[in-house]
Parts: sequence; C-alpha cells; structure tokens
Amino acid sequence: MNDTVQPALQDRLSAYLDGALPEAERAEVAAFAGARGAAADELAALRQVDAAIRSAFDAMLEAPVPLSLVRAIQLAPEVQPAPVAANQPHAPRRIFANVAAAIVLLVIGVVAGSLGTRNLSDDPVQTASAGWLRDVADYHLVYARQKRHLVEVPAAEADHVETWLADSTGVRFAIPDLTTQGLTFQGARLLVAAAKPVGQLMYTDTAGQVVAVCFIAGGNAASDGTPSFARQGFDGVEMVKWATRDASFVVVGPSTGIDLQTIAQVASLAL
Amino acid sequence: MPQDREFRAELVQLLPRLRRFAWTLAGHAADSDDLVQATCERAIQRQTLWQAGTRLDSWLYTIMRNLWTSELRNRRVRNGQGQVDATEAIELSTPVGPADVLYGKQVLALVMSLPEGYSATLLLVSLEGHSYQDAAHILGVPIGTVMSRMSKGRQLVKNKLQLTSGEVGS
Repeated sequence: MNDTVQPALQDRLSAYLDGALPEAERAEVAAFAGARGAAADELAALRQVDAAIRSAFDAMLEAPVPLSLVRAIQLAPEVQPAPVAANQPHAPRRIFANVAAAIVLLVIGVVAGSLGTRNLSDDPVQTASAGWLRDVADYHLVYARQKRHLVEVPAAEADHVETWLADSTGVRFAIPDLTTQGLTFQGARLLVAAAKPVGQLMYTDTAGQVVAVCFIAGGNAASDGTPSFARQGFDGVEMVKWATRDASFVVVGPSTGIDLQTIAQVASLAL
Repeated sequence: MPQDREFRAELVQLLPRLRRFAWTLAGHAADSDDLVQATCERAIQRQTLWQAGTRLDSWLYTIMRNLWTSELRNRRVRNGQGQVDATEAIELSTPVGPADVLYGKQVLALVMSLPEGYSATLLLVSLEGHSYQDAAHILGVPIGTVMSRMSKGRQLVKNKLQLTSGEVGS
C-alpha cells in the first residue's frame, strides 16, 4: 500500500507520468521515484492504473458504429458561410464567395437523398439488394481505417469465425484463402445491413489497404450455380458482387490499386 | 465539392473515437450517439472554420463539449437539478456493483462512474496523448483542473480496484 504518499506527491507523480512537469521538477521527481520506496511503488501503481484504463477505453472502439450516424454525416446540410470579422480587408468578397458556395451546396443538398441510390438506379437488377450494399459500403468507410480495431474476432480464431457467422447469418461458408491475391485474412465482424445479419471477412494487403468479403442470406433463386460478377461503386468504395441461390456476396475495397474482380472470382470458389 | 466530401469522410473515420469521447461526457450510451450526430452536423456546417493542419479530433471534441455543456445547462433548467461539481467531488458518483465480474468491463464501469469530467480528462490525456493545455482547451477548464482530475481520477480508480481486486497498487 502507499499510505505514506501524500496527496501533493500523488499530484506530482501523476503530472510526471503525463510529462507535464517543468524540466527541473521532472528530474527531481524522477530521482526519488527511481529509488526504492513508497514513491516508486506509487508510480508503479499509477502506471498499472493507466494500463487498465487504456485497455478499457480501447475496448470501447470495438463497439459497432450505428449506420444512422454515417448517414447523418453523409446527408447533413451543407456548408454554411463562415462568419467573417468586419475588420478583415477581404470580408465582402469572402462573404460573397461563401454565399455562392452555399447556394451551390444547397442545390447539391436537395439531391442528396438520391446519392445513396444513384449507382443503383442504373442497374434495375440490383434494386432488391440496394439496401444491404449501401450499408456495407458505409461500414467499409468506417472500419477500413481502423488499424488496431479492424475486426471483432481475429484471424487466430478462424474456426470460431466460421461457426459464429454461419450461425448468425444462416450462410454456410469457408473463409477464402486470398494469399495468392496478396491478401492476408485479419478476422471478421458481424454487421447488420438492411435489417439483416451480414458476415464481414476482413483482409489487408502489404500496403495496409483493407478488402472485405461480405455475405448475407438470400440470393438469386434463378441462379444456375455459375456466379455472374458485377461491379458497383459508392463514394470512395468499389464492389464486385455475385449471388448463389441461397446467399448474396460482395467484395469491397478501395476504388483503385486492387483487382477486386479477380479477388471476387477466387473468393467465390470457397464461398 | 471535394473538400466537403473529404471532410465528411474524415468524420466517418473518426466515428468510433467520437462515440467514445461522447460516452465519457454523457456517461452512458443513450445520449452519446445523439451528441455525436449533433457534433458532426455542426462541424459540417462550420467546416470552413477548421484550420487544416491542426488536429481535427481536438476541434470536434471542443464542439462536442460545448454542445454537451449547453445540453446540461438546459437539463438543469428543465429539471431544476444541479450538477455535481467535479472539481470538488472526491467519491465515485455511481457505485460499481459486484456483477461487473470481467476485469475490462469492471475498469470501464469504474472509469465511467467517476465524477463528471474525470473520464473525459483521463481519455484525452492518458490515452490520446493530449497535453494538459490541449485538454484544458477542449474541456473548457483551467489547466490546474486537468492536473487535479488526472491525479484524483487515477487515485479513485486505483483505490477502487484495490478494494475489488487487490491487483493494482497493492
């Protein structure tokens, strides 16, 4: 226990941990905290507390992000003119520019509601699956940049991933081996898209780019068993999709630099 | 508008962290997503005020804290209730029950039950590496308050963990 450590010293040790002490005081605290005794014990305890807090906060990042938040960002009203101080020399010109920009953006905003379906309206065959693909694209925007929290269940638990996602989605599958495409399996997430469970298998290439293979129950009853691949794009996200009789699949990735078509073809052999 | 699109994309990518910070302010998930949405909508409207090259997360956190402060003020008026003065509070504001058996969840419950403002301060400084000065600006408090919250927050968590697990600081 650290009963001999007084509150004033606790404050200094805490600030020392945060690098918030002046240089001279920092050296002084480092000297007596480095020696054996109550201060050293206290510093070690505080470091353990910090580690516990960091672990707890890190876990919060793994909570699924509601798609409603993504949509709110995508469809929020456009930029408003920035307030400009009256004494700024170019204030009138800037106000005019901002108003003009706001008008343009307002027009864009009027059609914003159609953004989510603009890629789909050209492809009536895909209308039925529009909802889940849009959702998957939005999830990809959120998770593709998460370095430390890319997946819920890591690749080391591949067997569990297969049973967990099969039970959750109703789609029987095997995790595709995409190493020939330069992709390493990192793990999986369970998503909810179009109000249905979706399995998301996450892969990365050597540059850290993220490719996801996603699937949902419900396919094309008219399928003869030979996949027919089709490309689709949402803002910043490219997809190649196909369907079997029982399920629909999509490979999701960045819009450039990765051959999603070939990845989809290889993945379909396992799925 | 490419800049607007890029700005929104940055917001989307920051969503997990924005939700976490909102949770530390609101204390629970129920209000935090509403707070995140309000923050993002305001940021989009005012994106021309953000200075490229500075930390976008800090700017968003400051917006969020301002929104939350206003919301708290409104609630006080509506409910006729006062808030615990975080700088004066010394005990955990919410007891942590024995049902929190998993260590990680237990620590999280401890942190989230700290007096108002403590968990947000711990998050900003201990985890996200903000300086006391940056954290003070984001939270709208003096630097001395940040220093005090860091020290007292650590002590509260340490002491509570000693009582419940005996694993820390013993």
